[in-house]
Amino acid sequence: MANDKDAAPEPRECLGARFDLSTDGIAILKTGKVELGQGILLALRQIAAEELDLSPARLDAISGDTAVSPFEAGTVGSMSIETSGPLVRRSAAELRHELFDAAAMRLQAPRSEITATDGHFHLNGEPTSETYWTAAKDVRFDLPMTGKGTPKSRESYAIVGTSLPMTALLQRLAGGAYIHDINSDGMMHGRIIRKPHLMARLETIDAESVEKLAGVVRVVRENDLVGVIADSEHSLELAVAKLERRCSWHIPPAPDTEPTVQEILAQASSIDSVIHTNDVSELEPMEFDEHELTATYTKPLIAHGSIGPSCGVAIVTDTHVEVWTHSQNVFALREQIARVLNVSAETVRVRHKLAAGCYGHNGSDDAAMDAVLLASRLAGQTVRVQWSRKDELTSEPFGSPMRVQIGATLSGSRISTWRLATRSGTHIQRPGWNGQVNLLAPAALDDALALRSDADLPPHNGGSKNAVALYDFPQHVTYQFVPNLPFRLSALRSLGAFANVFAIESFMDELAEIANLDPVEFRLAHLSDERARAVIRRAAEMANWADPCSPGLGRGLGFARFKNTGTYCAVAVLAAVEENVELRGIWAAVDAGLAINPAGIVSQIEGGILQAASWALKEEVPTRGTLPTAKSWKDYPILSFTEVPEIFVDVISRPECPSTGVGEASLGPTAGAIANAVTSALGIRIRDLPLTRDRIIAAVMGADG
Amino acid sequence: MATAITVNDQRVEVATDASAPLIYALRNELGLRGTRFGCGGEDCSACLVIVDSKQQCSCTYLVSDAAGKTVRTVEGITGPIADILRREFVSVGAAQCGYCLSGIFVTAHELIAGKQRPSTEAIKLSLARHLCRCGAHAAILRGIRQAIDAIEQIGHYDHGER
Repeated sequence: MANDKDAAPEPRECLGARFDLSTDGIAILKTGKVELGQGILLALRQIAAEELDLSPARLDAISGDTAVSPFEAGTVGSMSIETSGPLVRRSAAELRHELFDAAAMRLQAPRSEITATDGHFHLNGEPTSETYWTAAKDVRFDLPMTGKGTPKSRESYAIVGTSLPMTALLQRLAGGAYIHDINSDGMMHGRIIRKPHLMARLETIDAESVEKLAGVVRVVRENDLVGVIADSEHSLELAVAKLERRCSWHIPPAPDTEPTVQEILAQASSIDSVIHTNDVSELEPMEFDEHELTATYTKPLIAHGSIGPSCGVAIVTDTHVEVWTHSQNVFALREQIARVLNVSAETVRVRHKLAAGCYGHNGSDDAAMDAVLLASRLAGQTVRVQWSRKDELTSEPFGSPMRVQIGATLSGSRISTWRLATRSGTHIQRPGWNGQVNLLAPAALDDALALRSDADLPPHNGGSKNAVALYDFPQHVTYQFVPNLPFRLSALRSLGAFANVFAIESFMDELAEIANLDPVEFRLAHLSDERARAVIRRAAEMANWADPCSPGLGRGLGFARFKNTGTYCAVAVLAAVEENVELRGIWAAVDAGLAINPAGIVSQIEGGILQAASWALKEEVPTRGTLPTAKSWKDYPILSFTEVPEIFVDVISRPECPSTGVGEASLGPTAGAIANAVTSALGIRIRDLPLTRDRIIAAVMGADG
Repeated sequence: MATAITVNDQRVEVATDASAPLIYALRNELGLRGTRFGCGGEDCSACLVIVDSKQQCSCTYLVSDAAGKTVRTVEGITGPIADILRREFVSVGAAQCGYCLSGIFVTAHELIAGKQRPSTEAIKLSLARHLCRCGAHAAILRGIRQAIDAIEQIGHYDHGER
């Protein structure tokens, strides 16, 4: 096998793979990245507009269409700004260079005498009839880019670094913006009946009585795949309700006492690996020394819980497949559709269309595959699939349960040793991951395509993301990966970082208390990274950290640098605790390097804070043994408007540092800050999430008793 | 049998099955796709519309229930107060994905179009039935408060806060 050095370099993209200037007055930016509500297209348009000196309104984006977009990996891991940002910047700079060269030829003038204002060329300051769009006719969009054109210096930025209004909201309020709004003549509505349990097998089905219902076009039953297609959404709802009653499933017998999710996680065998060590001890990992202070923290199964149900639309003919999806990775989905249908990927076109926020790998890819499989049984007809809320809350891939154990020793007021073991199922089971399809409908159709979760992402990602603390003390960190946990698991916003940072930041406060130091001072004493120190100081200052709290109130702080290489974020929380936790105020300081769209950063940080608050205070997927049991939002409550405090976010822009992603940076720090505020108010530490009323009452009773 | 309903000031004969939820008639027959399907069980209010001055979840409210009544959807909420609310939602970026926002818009407009200036607590209480998953709550609240300030400036409110 050839080694990496021998591998052929990627062919260089041509300019046309990134830009299209064939429409007068408009520059179309093509990107494989997709809009998930996080504002990425606005930020990429800002970067391109900056390099081209165009008003952002002239930039349009074509996004996530396998037929026209450049191949880019999925819109995941808060990486779009870090990876696509520089690509867009360089190609826009090259386009500008080529346009100026073409204009110089057309105007028969040296480049130095030519300037451009919003796409209109000037010669020695005088307007000309030449524009970017006339010059574009002479630019070779079909040739590979050569690296010509120098991106602007950051000091000269006029568009990047400004907050642009989110005008797309008006279109979204008006209707038509979302994948759910696709409605073509004669469109059919389909749904796959989900297995009640991953291991369930279909025993009997009475398809005939459902086929007789008004509006039902087809009942599909192949192996364990059961689906129905109807001519309207209402007919479909009635048919699905009946079909669900007319299917019986064999579910593996459960033991007399159903174990909890944490018991299942603890009892399953794990693959252990040391992911970081400063050789703090010769002891085996987690055989704690008696002088060590130790604690164990847990985080439950959590759902993505998109407000919009997963949706997919497909047409399958003899020669081609067309799919509309809100997948995070249209290219990977195309591969798996081609594989399942046994056709060439070139015949499959997958297009992204906006849906409600997904926060990771939810049911979007499944809904698209559902639509494809149903449409393939009704050739030439458009089939739209939209999941039910119950399916969302039971069949989507969840965020893995986790357990984090930490042991540390203090020498005076300094941490001298720190050992951490984090235990988790996988955080990735996306289409194509580990060579598998990883989607529900193909798994029901064919045992060879069954779901398996026998690998996680590499160390420092997946379950061990942020398992190493950024603090300056010797650490020994172990990842206990539990393969094939009996739940469907995949990427949920911030992956393992949420539980790991919650545990690390909780334990930092526990140690600070023993060391008799203020938690902020204690953290700063263990941190030499100046950017880290700056966000912690700023968040504390914003929250009036030094002011005393009234009885019943508590303040807490949490900090992390996402992935230890990305965005720095510190969060401070003021909470009142009686039986419930009431958030009174949240303050965050964030350093994401060069800020592209400050308002976009604030929005992502706030969103992460409130989602993490919801996870930390309320969320846990209900289960009976290995069976998810939620039927509606009533069984899976999330944060409500009445529980939302004032939030203040301060963005520390560092134009000299590369931009880093902000979508996942605030979640772990928020969980730590809330847990620490609750302890500060209550005087009792609760180490298991979520911090519900029942847990608080139990903790208080336990402490009293 | 068609069902006669007045939707956004227009009298329409709706052909959608009278026993179907109103949302299917609005979105699929009348093309009013600003109303969103969220949960189908009145838990999230993404599908909220106004029927005869009352808030209703159109995912459970039936076409037959709407017979002879007046329905207003997000598309039909217009006028100076609605313009201000739309403007301030854009100005503060009062959503991320925006899926929940049309239902919230319907509720918020009802609240701020009254003659008494609503307090922050009143805004939160009125939105208690709405779910948002992006964590845009704080931004949405800011947008509504800014809209209230702008409406105050045009002298819409009687004195006092509720």
